[in-house]
Amino acid sequence: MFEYCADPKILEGFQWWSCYLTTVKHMNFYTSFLVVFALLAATVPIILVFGFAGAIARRSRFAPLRWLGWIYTSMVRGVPDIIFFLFVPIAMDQGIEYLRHQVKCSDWAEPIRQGNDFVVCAAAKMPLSISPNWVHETYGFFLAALAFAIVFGAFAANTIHGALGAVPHAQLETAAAYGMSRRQVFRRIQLPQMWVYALPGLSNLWMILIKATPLLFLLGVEDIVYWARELGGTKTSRFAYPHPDWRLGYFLVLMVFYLGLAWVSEVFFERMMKRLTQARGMSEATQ
Amino acid sequence: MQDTHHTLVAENIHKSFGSLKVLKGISLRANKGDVISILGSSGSGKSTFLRCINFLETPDQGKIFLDGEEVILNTDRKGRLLGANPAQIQRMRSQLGMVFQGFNLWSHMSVLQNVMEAPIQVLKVSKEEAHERAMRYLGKVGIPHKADAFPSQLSGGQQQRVAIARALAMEPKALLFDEPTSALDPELVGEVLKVMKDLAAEGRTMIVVTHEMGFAREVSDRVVFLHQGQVEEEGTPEEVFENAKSERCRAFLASSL
Repeated sequence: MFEYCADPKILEGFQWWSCYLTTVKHMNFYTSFLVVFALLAATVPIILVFGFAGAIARRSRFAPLRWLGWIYTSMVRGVPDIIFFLFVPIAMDQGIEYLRHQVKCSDWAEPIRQGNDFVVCAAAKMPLSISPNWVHETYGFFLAALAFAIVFGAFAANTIHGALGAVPHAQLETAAAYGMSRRQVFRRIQLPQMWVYALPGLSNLWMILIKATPLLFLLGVEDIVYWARELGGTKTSRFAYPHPDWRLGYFLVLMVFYLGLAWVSEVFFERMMKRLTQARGMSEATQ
Repeated sequence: MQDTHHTLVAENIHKSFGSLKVLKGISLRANKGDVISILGSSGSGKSTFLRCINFLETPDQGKIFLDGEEVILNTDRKGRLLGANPAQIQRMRSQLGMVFQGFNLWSHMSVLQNVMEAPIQVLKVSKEEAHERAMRYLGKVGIPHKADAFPSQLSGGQQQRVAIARALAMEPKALLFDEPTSALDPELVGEVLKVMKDLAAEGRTMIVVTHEMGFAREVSDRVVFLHQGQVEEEGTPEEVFENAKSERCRAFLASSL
């Protein structure tokens, strides 16, 4: 990073630290914090979409849609998260490759399942093996984000479903009595009033989501846990910056990071809740 | 049969909840400008009857006409009536302003938004027009200065007056009041009754389910006394309050005064 870092062996004190903390790998460590935020930013909208879709399906007048919503929410919630996180990306990956294989390599004679191996033609690979590295990483990240969204979407669907049901019936009936259509009642009354009931559950879900982000490590994404372990491990004198086992320090940094994130979220949701209840006086009106 | 003379006609309305027969054939005709009070002890079916008029409850049997137009009802496989045409029911409801016992102001909207909401969404009037109407009717019920408050910041009496303004802003053909003062503290009843008296004096068509004998006697053109889902006594306030033929009606009135 700095010019004086050319020969780490002769560095001492502040200079050693300033060079050590700015190595390429440390830069990767720092940017991997962004991966956490990217995951949150990418999944939250999808989670809400899945959540609303699931909740609305469960309230549908059309029975098959209702069952679908019910199956989605109860099945996903009943399976341990980790199994889902391992299952979904592999299943998605193989599913996509299988379909591409059928389309692009229909003349392929060998079976796709060869013993324990899943083999598709080169053209069906996702992403193509000639693709640059960042495409592979992005694709992996995308599958991981999707797994997160499916799991957390089911919980969100449950929360939103409950919140929609918690809106006092009189509020909806009054809107109907003024000639509003079912759709208008939903959009103008039920949906805006739902938030105050959904927020506690959704904020809980957000906290769990934050705490679940290290599962990315499990899916092979180079996230902060990966780098903390990598950088913290003992470095012998063969390394440019040898040091003993510093994993404790690195993981401490992660803990502080997550605590900070949790604290900021807590404050944010508290303010939101205050805005929803105080300004609108929901507490009294919903008795 | 078509009835073109009356603003609102309910004919032979029946309604059961499970095995409990709540309404056993009630009919009512309101001319333009009529104020009709519906009295009865709790369980007599008076609120259910009012709710059948705008299909918050679907009657098991019977017909409803609004300004001569019959609400089209179909019978489903189990023999129950269903509104055949949601658009017609919505249009009809938009012409019947309903005021509820519990006010039911939309808690996430300001007073002004509460009054503007249905005219904009249902009647499709412009925002400017809805705003102008809202302020006019909030003025009429005496609380234009509370336009920006939220419902929970108002007293019960104020909330109910806003609810009346909300009903008026639809410029309905008739107003339905479902025990509008029953949820109010005694000292707040007067302000709501005064607004209702003013509306009656303007010649609005009103169907009022109430326990306020003074109001029924003073303001109504006609009084209907219900007992166990049937009309037990009906007539002008003088006829009902001073010369009731029914023993039950006399007993009810005596205990209510």
